Amino acid sequence: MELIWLVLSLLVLDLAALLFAADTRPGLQHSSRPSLTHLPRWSGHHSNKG
Amino acid sequence: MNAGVPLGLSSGLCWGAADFFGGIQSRRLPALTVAFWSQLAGALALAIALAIEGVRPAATGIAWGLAAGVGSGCALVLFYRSLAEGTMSMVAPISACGAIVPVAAALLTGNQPGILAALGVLATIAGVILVSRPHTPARFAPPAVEGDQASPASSASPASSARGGRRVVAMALGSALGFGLFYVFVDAGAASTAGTAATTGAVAAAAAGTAGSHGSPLWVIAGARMSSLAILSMIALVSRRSALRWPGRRIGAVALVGIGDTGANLLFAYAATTGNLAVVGVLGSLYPVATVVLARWLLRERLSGGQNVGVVLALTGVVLLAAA
Repeated sequence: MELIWLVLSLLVLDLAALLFAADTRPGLQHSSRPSLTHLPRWSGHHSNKG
Repeated sequence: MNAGVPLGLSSGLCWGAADFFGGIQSRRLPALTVAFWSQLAGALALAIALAIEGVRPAATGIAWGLAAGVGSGCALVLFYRSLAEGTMSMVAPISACGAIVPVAAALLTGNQPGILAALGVLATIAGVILVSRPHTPARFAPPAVEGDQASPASSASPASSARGGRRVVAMALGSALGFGLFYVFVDAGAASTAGTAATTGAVAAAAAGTAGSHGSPLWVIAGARMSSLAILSMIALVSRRSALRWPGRRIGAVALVGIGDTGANLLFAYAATTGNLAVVGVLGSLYPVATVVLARWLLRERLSGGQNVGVVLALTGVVLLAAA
């Protein structure tokens, strides 16, 4: 039983560290919506590069 | 309250979180690198747990575990790759559909799955079809994988996005097949060592594998870890040796993913031995929910209405299969 509480405590620390180190910058975001809907009108849908 | 319920829920949470963060790391490193180093870290954590428990190894359990690891090793690479390239909220429920494979195996071996399993299969298939509908393709942001030349183009056109979306769905289905085979072999190992009848529920099968091996509940998983590491090394040798290179400063996060996965296995094994296996199996099968919630929260992923219905249907199917 002591082992499982140790595991549980370590897992909480593990997840907290992962959350802290998570690299979720905008460039890594994914969306199910078609990319064209995100383009500004003036782009003419020719390129999605900023 | 029985400790099985909170521990079962915790195991599902940890599995889903480890999957999410494994996918995040796979957007920066090759999926094979993440899979290998996280599995290695998980194997070391498992070795420590086995040393603390002091249980003797069971040859039969390890042998079936070795077979199971072949499926999980291949599945893990496909899973991380699809999480990195696609929408995690789509990929996680599709990959969880490996729960169908034990039902198919039961049918092939002459066993008749019950009504719950049949309903679970139908709900899962309908959910996958809805989630992976081609008219709402995933938009592909550049994963910027370090050293991975096979990454998708950074500026994908709608047509190439649709092709990429199909590729992601295919990889997620491939990972589901691999995880499903893992469940089947773990179940067979549990049946051979504990003398119990084979189950059809996927997570229940994994639970049987970790809980029913006569005092050596974790040796099946240890065997699976060994062979999955061997398979990942072989894949790296066949494809590119550099795929197993040292992850550098990301080793900490990658190792935490593997340790989280192993910790979830330990929690599940303990929950299955202390609580009702049927209940614990269902709770553990909820792991894609954690991945979906984290993807919505941290990555702000949004799905269409139909895809959301598909996610719910697929998860319902997985829960039904776990309860069968």
